[in-house]
Amino acid sequence: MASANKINNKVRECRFFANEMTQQDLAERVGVTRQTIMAIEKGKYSPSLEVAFKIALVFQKSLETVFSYDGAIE
Amino acid sequence: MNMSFKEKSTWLSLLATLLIFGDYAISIFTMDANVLNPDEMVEVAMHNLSSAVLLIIIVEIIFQSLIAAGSGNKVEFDGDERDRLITLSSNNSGYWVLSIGVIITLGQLILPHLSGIEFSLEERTNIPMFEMHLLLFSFIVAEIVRFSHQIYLYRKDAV
Repeated sequence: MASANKINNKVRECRFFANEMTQQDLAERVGVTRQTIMAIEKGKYSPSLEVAFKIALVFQKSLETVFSYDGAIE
Repeated sequence: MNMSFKEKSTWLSLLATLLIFGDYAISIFTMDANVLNPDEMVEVAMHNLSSAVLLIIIVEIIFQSLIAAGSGNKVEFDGDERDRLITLSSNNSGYWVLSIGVIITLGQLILPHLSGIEFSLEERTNIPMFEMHLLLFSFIVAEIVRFSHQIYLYRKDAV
């Protein structure tokens, strides 16, 4: 279900710096499946705004720190 | 292989549909009109269909329960936003296949009356209750396309 993905993320890096939090831990805290976290980390799935905010909240960072957009406005 | 509950459940439904209704389709397409009269063909078809439906219900209940018992996570069981997107997208594919089947069936029923041309697919096959089977097989193919598309989307994101 991934679109041509121009949204980059630092979820993996954030997990590493959060005492090597597992994908399963993050998934449970955000309320998604581990497979969804895996797809987000690989850049194959762009999460909804709600899930993106929840992920950022888990790491106590701003949305822009965890997610960034590479595309240009047409 | 790393699979969520929803993906395992979809694999099970796909395999069950392919095996059970595949076997039913073979039994229908290989019916010999020289051996059975039309009434007997209908009787055999109905018997095989009711067996296939009963079997798929039993298989789905037993194996889906086993898979569900193995996934202790409520989110995984209910599905998340990605599961819902994948389901919507694959439902769309199945809908198109089913629509084509319905249009072919309607065409088969209506066109001879509208055009006055005597043409019937039914006369060219040995399939009993032809229109019912046309709709049934459209539904089965639509389900197979839906499950396959769903699995494709799950695998594509997982690789």
